[in-house]
Amino acid sequence: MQRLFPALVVVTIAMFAVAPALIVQAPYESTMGLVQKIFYFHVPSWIVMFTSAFVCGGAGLRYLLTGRSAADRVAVAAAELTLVFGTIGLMTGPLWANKAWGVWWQWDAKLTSALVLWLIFASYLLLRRYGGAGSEKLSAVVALFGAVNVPFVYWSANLWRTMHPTTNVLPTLQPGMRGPFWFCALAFLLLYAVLLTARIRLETRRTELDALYLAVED
Amino acid sequence: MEREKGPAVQLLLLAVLMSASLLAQRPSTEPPIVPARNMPPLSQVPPAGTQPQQLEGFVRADQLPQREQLPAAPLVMTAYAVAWAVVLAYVWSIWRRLNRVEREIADVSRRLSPGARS
Repeated sequence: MQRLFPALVVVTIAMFAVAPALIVQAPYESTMGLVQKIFYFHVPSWIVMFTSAFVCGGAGLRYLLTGRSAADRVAVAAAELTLVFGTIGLMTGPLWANKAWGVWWQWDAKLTSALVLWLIFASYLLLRRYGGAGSEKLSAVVALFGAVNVPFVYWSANLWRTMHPTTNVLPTLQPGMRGPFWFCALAFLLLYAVLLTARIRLETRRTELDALYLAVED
Repeated sequence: MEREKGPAVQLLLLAVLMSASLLAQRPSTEPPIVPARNMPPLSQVPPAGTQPQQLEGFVRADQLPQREQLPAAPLVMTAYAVAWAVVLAYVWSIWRRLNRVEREIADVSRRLSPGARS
């Protein structure tokens, strides 16, 4: 992965350089008009957040089962990125809603459950920072709980009556919008891979530093 | 009997004073006359009893008059700026933390090297 990293960075930057041109050329949505263009960053950020929550939960489960510190490092890195991409989704959504719905925020099932998911991963990081020794196992359980919560957030718009569109939007996307959208989604996933690799490296180097400090004390 | 007159007169006076003050505060039943501006000429005023034209159905958001629409461009630009600001701030944060850890590793490694111990 370390050898592929520079190539991954270059491809990601190139994709994000091309993305605005594709977004501008994509057709306008008939009722919302220009503001619908937020969709091309808003939905991919949630796709990445859900992916990251699954990565974090999976790594947490692996750590609980095997006790491997490498899995714990992946879980920490993924939890931080879940929060980063969730922040993008939670901030771009209200900007879109203000124009489309006439309100910044609505306490409906979709928006509230998404906020709760974000708060679960915020609590994971707080637990890691202030939980002290042994917080790795407890936080792994929190990560697992967060990952299990993802399907509820995803299907909440179908299960309950909400202002948010259902999951039917992506399968029925116009051909003109489909290309730019999936291009942006792929760019976001590549960006996630780049950031996750860098963040895991930081965690690995911290572990090495801790080992060095122990060697100095000995 | 003379004793009972005093309070009765006082009550009567109080009632008169309260009535007078209430009358003084009561707003006029006539609406204030305000000079009309941009008023249509009498020939264009619909006759009494006729209703203004009612809307049938909804008006599409993109067909609303300009003053009733929120400008979308600032919202779209803010959304993209926010997304980029969050990503760049995070990249900078990783870079700063990684640099600090690398410096510490170099420092501790120097202390651990055989030359430094002797």
